Amino acid sequence: MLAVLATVLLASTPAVDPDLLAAEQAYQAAHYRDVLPSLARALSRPLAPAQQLRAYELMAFIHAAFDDAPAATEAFRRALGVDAGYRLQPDASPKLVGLLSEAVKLGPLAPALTPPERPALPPAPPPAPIYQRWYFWTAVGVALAAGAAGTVYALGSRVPKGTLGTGTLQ
Amino acid sequence: MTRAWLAALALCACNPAGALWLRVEAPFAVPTQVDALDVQVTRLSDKKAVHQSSHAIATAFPHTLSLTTDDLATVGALEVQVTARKGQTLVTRASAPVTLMRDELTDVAVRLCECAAP
Repeated sequence: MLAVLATVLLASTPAVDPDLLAAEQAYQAAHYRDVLPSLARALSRPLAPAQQLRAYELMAFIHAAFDDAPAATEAFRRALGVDAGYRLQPDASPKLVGLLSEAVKLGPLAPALTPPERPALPPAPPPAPIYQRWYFWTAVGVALAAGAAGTVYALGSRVPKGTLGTGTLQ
Repeated sequence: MTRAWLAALALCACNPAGALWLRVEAPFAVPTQVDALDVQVTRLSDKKAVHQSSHAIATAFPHTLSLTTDDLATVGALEVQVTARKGQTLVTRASAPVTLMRDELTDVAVRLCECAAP
């Protein structure tokens, strides 16, 4: 029943958050461990109230399924923060009813704030001058080595051995 | 980077500052008239003998000798003197000036002739 309601609710919403939809599908498929991560991602973005309410409702259901009563109660309280008149379907399990009753008793909580926008990153430091780059000095070294090798080749290769041999000038 | 510098320095260290290609020409028969050559190279700036060598020869002229130097001080004006001997007897002697060029193979020819007085 809840699933049908949720489907109708989400279907009536023009743009369903993809992560909320993923959470819904995981819940329907009883892949409960996949629900909470999708909900966390969905709730990190601004959601329409109906979708936000459904997200907290699903969150409460999953926490209840894992016997995490405090977390389920908190999720219900946040659902109540979205809609103070929120109530479970009549065929809801006594466990859920009890948790929601506890939430009502404790009072609603404002929906968790979505993560603040990340502050703008500080401007990237200006690129280091070319002479401070490792590849610059490597290139210089290679060029010098090549130049020296070229000179050696140029001169050394042109110094043949004479009939009297070779010698050195001190 | 350090290795590149070391390689460059090593190559620079092996690089001759200059080289001399000496060619000795003479009309003498070998070994009946000449059987040895003495070569002396003098640096004109300080009159220092920068090379001395003796060579027994068994083949006909011309003869050649390559000389290299790593000393930049030797780059410059030189005088090459060649002495032809038959045993210990001096046959003739001749010399030629040459300017050793840096990073180049410098040619110099010394012509021995019968007219040269010992």
